[in-house]
Amino acid sequence: MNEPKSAPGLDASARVYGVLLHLYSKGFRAAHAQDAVDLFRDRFNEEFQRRGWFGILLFWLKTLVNVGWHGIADRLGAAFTRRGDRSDSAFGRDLAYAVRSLRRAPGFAVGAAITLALGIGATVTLYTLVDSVLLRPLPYPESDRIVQLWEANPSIGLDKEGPSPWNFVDWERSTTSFESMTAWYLTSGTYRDENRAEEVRSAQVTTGFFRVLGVTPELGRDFQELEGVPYGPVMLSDRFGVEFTERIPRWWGVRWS
Amino acid sequence: MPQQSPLNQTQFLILLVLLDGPLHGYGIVKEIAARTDSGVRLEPGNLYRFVKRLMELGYIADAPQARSDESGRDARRRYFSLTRKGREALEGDAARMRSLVLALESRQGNG
Repeated sequence: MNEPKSAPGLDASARVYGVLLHLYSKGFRAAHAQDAVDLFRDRFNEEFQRRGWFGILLFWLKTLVNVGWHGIADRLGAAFTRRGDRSDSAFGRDLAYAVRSLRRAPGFAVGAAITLALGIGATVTLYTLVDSVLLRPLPYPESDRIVQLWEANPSIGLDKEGPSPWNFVDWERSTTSFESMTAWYLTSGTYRDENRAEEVRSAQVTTGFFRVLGVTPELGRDFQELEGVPYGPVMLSDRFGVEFTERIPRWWGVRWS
Repeated sequence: MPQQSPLNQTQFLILLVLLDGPLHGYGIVKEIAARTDSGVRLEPGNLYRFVKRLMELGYIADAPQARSDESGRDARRRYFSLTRKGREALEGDAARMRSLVLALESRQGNG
């Protein structure tokens, strides 16, 4: 049977992987390193055939995490097993051997370092993204109690849309399940002073907006009941103050349209 | 005989796929992925830690005879087979899980 064509970069990647296996104990490498490299080559080819370069990138990310975790776990397990036997300082010898090997092949060492740097960088980026989007809670007190409600209108094929203003008013009047409710509408406004007029991002919100989020303004006061009809006061963000007015006291006298 | 501690999921799956005969590392990975709808996909770094542990426990062993049946690249691969002790551990764990499932089902039947 013909061997499938090798993915590009397979040999270099397998060499880097072989170096990474030095994270494992000497006993593990003696028994399984060659098998592990063979399996790495098989999986590398498989991922390239399935998903191309994207598959290779994901495979390397998983491999780095996998080898780091299991290599250290294996090393610790081996250390506990031979506790008390000081004559076998395998880790130090392995480390010195790895450094000498890399010095003898500087091109390979640079390639390996770049591969590791890219892999670690991509891994950190991915985990940062997952952390900020999925794991880290919203920056509000008791944010796990905040929920967002939608309307569904199956007759026109919409299964998720914001409620109409009067529906929201009905919800707010009739519901007893929530401590407070708010609705918002993202829009834009115009900042004007003597010298310029600029469009700025803004939101029209009901008066309970900041109570729902559990935050209070650093300066001034929160919105009050009924003052939002039809249009009430404006709350300026700190970023707005920095970008447009430079100094907070100059906010006074700003006209909003 | 002292009672064996339960196998973890990966150990169980490795022993399970070796029931049908010796496999090399990549064969084990592919077989487990196929049987779990790709839900469990072992990588080189962790597969051989499990293999090492199962060999230490005497549940699997080298199967050199399998290599002579292969040609080309597969001939130099290392094959693993289930030992009698491994089969007993697998069957013991399966019985343990079966009794747990039965206990759950009888409770649901009563509820």
